[in-house]
Amino acid sequence: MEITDKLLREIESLARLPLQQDERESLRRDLSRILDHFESLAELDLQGIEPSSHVAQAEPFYRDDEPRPGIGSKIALSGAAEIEDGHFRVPPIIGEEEHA
Amino acid sequence: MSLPSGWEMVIGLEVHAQIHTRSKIFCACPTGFGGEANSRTCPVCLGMPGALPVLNRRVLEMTALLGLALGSRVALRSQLARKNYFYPDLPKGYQISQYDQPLCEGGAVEIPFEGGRRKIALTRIHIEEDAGKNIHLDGRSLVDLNRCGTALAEIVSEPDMRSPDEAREYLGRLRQLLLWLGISDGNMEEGSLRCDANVSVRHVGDTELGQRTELKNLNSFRAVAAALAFEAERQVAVLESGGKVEKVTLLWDAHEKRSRPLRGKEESKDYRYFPEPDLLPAGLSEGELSTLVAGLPASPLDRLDSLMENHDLDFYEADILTRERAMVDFFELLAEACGDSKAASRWMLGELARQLNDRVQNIEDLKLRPDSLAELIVLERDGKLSGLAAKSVLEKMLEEGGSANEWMERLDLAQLSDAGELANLVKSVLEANPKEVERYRGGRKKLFGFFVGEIMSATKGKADPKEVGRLLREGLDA
Repeated sequence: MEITDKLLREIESLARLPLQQDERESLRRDLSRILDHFESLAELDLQGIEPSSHVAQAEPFYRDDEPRPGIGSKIALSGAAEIEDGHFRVPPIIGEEEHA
Repeated sequence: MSLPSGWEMVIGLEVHAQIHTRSKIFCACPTGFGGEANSRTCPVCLGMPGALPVLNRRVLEMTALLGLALGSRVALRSQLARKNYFYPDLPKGYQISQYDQPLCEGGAVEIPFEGGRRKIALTRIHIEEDAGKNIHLDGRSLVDLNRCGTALAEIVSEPDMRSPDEAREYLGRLRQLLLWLGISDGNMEEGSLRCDANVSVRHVGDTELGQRTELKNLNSFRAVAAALAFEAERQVAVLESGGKVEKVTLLWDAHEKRSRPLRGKEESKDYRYFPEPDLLPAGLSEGELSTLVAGLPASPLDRLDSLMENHDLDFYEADILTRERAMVDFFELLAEACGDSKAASRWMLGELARQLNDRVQNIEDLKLRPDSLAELIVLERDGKLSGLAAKSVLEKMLEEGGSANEWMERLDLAQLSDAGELANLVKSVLEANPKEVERYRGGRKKLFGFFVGEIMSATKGKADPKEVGRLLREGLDA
């Protein structure tokens, strides 16, 4: 499958990865080959086979709704690059919204 | 709001409700609002490599219960899915949600409509995890992940609503049901209930849908109605001037009362949904679903109809009394105990509602039982307590418990309505004030109030005013 410039730029932006021009060329080739490789799946005859989403055949397992203390903010923040006022500090987020 | 004639709105809502659980959806961290930032976190909700989610059973139960109450088809096996995007409030880089196999499909929310009911169809209800909270400051943003991993039910309607009022009604009835079933606290201010809307306009009579836009951040009932009206008017203006409505996502600014377009909003394919490999397909068994069905209480609207039918209440009264389940349960016990539905409704919507409001209390937290209030209502009806005294007794009962009779005696509030006793009292008051009696009889009819006042002060306000008036008139006009 051909990876156009436009598509590559979209992928870059979704992955939040700014690429150099030479990286862009090699990545375009790699992605194209990866997708071609997966295209071979389309050759399989899947008629009559139930779609499945998981390889495990086990019964699902659930947790009871019992709270336990977390690890606390001190440990939670211990790996943070920047901290301010008990929060993770990140570059400014402007003009975006909450997704959930 | 009014669109120019010939136009109609088409509205669908997406509602996120935090499910009332003690722990988060995929880890045991406690849920809650406020508190020290990042204190309710663990490797799972912090998105640490290698940490694995385990689904909270109660999330399935509560969401299935909601689906069953709304007549949805509840799947025995649904699929969790990864929704991939990068945002600081979601440390894993993906949200665990549901995509093509949600827990519930179909169903409808019923709203009262022109004396009957109207069904707003649902597309689906699925479960997912909430994200953390961002605080935007000058030149930086701060992230608190306490909310990250809180369980959400997303309830998606069909484009079945035709006006902002209808959307508001739908949201209100959905919220009522969520509280009714104990699924969510429905608090829009604290963000445990959030609403996005899809809206388009078309000519009345058209069957095709117009191009829709998405409105986000509708975080109050007022915002829902205002934002929808604003956006529909904007779309009509665009179309009437020969333009085309663009597919955009708009953020509602409740302060400025206007919407602004959001840049860089992903499309569905950009989220690269795929089945969540860390979780097995999830659902309850047929037996578990039957147990939930068996435990379903009568719906708010069924209880409302029953109040109108069996207690002769009007829609307004019955509607308020069915806002909460504890309220209507209380009412029915009260009406039965005092044998007077109208008086029961008047007391609950009047003095009791006022007292609850002043105390910021819910009816289920009260020391007051329905039969104690019934006793009070009967005392007032039989003339043993004046209206004012009955209110004082209610206040005492709310504060300290106890029965109406007890408080009436302890506070010495029993109304004096014994005809013989009152007649003697009237007689002695008239005898003690011969000049006033003479002036009254000479035409100063305003003095009537003076005599009433004398009797009231002699009885510390306990004399039955009706009886006093009758006896006074007898004595003075004789």
